[in-house]
Amino acid sequence: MMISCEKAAGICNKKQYKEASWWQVAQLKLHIFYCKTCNQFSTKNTVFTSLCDKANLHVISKEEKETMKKEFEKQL
Amino acid sequence: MPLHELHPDTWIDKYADYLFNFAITRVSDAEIAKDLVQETFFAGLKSAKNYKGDAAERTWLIAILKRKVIDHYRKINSKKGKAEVRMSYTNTSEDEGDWLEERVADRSNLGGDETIENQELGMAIQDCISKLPKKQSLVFTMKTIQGMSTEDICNELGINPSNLWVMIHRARTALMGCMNQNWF
Repeated sequence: MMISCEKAAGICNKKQYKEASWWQVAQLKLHIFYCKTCNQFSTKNTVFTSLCDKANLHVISKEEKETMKKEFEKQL
Repeated sequence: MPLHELHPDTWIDKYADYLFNFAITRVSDAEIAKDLVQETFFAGLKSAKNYKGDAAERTWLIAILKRKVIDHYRKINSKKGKAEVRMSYTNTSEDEGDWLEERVADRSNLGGDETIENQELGMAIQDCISKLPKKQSLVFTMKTIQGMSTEDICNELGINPSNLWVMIHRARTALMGCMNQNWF
């Protein structure tokens, strides 16, 4: 049941993408109950996830960038 | 000796997403935003000889993009017919008579406080992402912004899941550090 801080951080990251199992989440919860550092990291990580959601970021896909580059290189 | 220099060959990798986010919050259409970014790069290349090196490359490109957004609204206005020109870019009477340029530049005209804050947040995150090592920023973007599955990313990049999570961890830690002063 006891896990290292390193493992806790890993689970915490997976949790941000909903890829941690309930068992891992239980281990993480127990860990951050007694580990202040990981508790802080976990809180901050969760806030960061919500910031990313709120920001509604967009990217140009890799394929589209390639097309852009090809067009652009013609001008160079 | 100018402070900054232009490197057009790196523009798309370095600034395309940043400019794209700037454009999309102002034109609300991904296709149009993408075209505007493309046009910005072309225009930048064309007027590269006028670049004095006072502003950073990205700032200079954003300035061009702003003009492109204005041109875009002018164009759709002229298509709509003159009677609609004034109404189409502002719908409150207090803004009437404002210059179109001001509307693009001035964030306070873009909408509610929350919208503005989210736009600034988006640009701040994008800015921090651009400071990450290339591989980390790629993995983070694919996972967080494009929402791709771990498996797909691993296949595409030829890495294993534990590599991926290490890179995600490094990227997130760096981004949290970068965002720390203003947003937490």
